[in-house]
Amino acid sequence: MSRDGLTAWLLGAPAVACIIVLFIVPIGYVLLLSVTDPTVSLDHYRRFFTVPLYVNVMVNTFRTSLIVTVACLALGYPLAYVMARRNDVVAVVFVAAVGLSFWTGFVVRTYAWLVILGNKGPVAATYALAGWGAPPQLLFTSFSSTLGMTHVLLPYMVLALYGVMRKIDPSYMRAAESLGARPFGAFRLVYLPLSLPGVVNGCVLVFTMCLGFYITPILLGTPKDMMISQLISQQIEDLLAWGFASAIAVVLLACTLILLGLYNRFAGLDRLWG
Amino acid sequence: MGIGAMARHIPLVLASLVAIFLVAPMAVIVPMSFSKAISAAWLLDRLL
Repeated sequence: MSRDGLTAWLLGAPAVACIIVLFIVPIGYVLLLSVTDPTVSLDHYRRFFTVPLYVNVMVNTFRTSLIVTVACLALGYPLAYVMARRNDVVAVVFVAAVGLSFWTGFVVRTYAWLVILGNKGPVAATYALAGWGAPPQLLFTSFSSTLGMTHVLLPYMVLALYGVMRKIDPSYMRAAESLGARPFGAFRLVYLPLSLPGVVNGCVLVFTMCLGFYITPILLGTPKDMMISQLISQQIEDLLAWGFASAIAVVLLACTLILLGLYNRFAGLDRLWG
Repeated sequence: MGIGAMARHIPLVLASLVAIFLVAPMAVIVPMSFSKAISAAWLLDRLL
């Protein structure tokens, strides 16, 4: 090996060692555990895909992730659009709002929703003030869980959209309008297609993060709407079923990898962060 | 103001609502942290 080649290998060695020690070894151990605990077999995988309860958890995880992704996109798109299109104090305020939310720990934000939606929270207080009677049960429902997750993941969607929208030249819209397009037509035919990479980035980011979400559904949700991460935690903490929990973790990892693989195939993973 | 001019403000209105949604938990939690209990009871006591 030439001197330059050896230097390159030595410079890359710490990074490779980090990846091996922090990622490959733990994941490999989980994979090994899933097929060897307590005996060498694929029983855990067979059980996961044949017992309706576990299939339902899987389906619920994907359904919740999809709902949260769509909600984040619907809420995040207008905010990112205004942030990217304006250069005044309004844009600064919106960027500050996103930054404030982004930099506040998601456990804190989840607890905030616990208070807001609780029996003595502002929503209940508004109901009492308006004389509408007892407030509906908002906490520990699918609604509260989805709302909390949407709130936690919304900044990721906004930042992914903003990164792409900021690069769209404003003169394109002006050119479309000067050629006779109405504002909405110019948006639909020019701006929206150009912002689609941001939409895809944001959706992949939010969906993959949502698949493994744990704290927010635990604190705000209901056991009926269990997510896959809760199932893993339950198997380890309550039942000490390390083998089965490892198999579920491997399935979750495989789902995420398939999603990222598809994204890489059609868009390229290097574009995920804008 | 015409409908077209009003329509131009729709993104701004939507973005403002989303920004409020983003900061609402912090905006509610911070005043509550100064009250005796983690609840909005203190607010109700003053208003009712």
